[in-house]
Amino acid sequence: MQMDPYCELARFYLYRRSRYFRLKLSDFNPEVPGPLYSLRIDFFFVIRPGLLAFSNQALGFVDQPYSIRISFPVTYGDLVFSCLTSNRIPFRRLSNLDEYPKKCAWELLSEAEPDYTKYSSILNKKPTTYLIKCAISYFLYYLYFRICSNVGCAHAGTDTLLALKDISDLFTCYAFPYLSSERVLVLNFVLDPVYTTSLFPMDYLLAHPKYFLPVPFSEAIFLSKEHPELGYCLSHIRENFFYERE
Amino acid sequence: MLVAAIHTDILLSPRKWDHYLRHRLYTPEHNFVLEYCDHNLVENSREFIQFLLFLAFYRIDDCVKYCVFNLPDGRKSFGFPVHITPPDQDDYEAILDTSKTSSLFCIDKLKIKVPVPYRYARSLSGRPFDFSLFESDYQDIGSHFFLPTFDFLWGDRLNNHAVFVLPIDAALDARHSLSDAPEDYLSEHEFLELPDRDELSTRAAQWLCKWTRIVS
Repeated sequence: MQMDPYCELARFYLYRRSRYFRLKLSDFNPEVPGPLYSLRIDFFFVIRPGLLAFSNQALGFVDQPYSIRISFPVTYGDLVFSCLTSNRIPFRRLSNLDEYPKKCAWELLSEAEPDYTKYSSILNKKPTTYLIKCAISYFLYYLYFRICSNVGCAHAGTDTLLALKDISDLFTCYAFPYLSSERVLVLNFVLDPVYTTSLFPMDYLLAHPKYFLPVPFSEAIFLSKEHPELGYCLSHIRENFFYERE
Repeated sequence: MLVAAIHTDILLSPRKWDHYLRHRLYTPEHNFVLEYCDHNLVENSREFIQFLLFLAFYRIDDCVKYCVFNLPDGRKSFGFPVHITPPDQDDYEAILDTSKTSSLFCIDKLKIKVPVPYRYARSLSGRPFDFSLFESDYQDIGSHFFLPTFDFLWGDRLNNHAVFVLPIDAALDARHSLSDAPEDYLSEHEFLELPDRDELSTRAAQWLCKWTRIVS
């Protein structure tokens, strides 16, 4: 692969017979050509008593005033770099963070000029599930530092970085997949209120009111008419994050 | 028609749900009794959430595939929705017989009456279904309906239906009202490629595809 393909959305083949999805690589020719699917990772942040919405001033890359769901389409480059960095995201080029989505996240976060010769082999050798797992923590890091950068506060300390690592390790507990009608494999990743608070403490939210908006659960249920993925998430959010702790 | 519904606040709040459970009317036969409301009153209400079963009938060939219904208006459906109705109601849609396990539901038996538009549906290959009695009984459905967890929220205007997607083995269809032709069954992915899909069916098919289990 040359450089450009790494900025392309990662594509997955569906083997119709076995129903398995497999990452499409340039040197991979499926026996039975099928439709191609892309991959998107959506983040939701649960707080008491609902969900945390972020203003466009906080995010800088959405086209609505507030967003409950924050989406990242995943490119080949993101899969490679998230795999390479795993939980050791370098973040040495923080000044470039706001260039997303004009530039891919991996272009903004990579600490050195990439050596493309070895990347095809990474995509070939690593299981897709592992690549997706890495991508979750990768985008969560990016999102968090992007918000911190836009809000104008100091970046996170060691405690927060440890919390981010913790969250990434637990990803299977709070991730809900579905398949959109637009041939997108969507993974909803929902952060527990404990982790949301550790990343965005209440005094931090209160100190920056124009960037954050708590949305009560009773209101989110009606927002889900416009956002079907919320309809999928709410039951599980309720069950996983509220039932034992309210 | 009376349909099972619950106050939105109670369903959304675990604290209120627990309180509700503790103060429910218990009977010797059941550990929990549903409440029923007039459908006309709750359909456009934000105060109540109705319980809706979405029945999807599957068979296993080379993979799990679901029976597709060609509705009279041209839309394609992946199954059909039924409200939960009281056992003694003539115009019932779905009657549950639940086991006495803890405070939650676990369906032992399900009795359904096929909703009107689906009675005149045809299979994907154009054959009519034999819903001669429009009624079916299913035994040993399992624990797919498990309050207070639902699969997703849905509604024509308001999101006031808690939908439980209930995959049912088509082989349980003792009256053979469903098609047994393989070409009348599609996987979730294949269904999502069809034009003119019913909206609720689309949501159900999207939800049934747990793709993280099937990536290499």
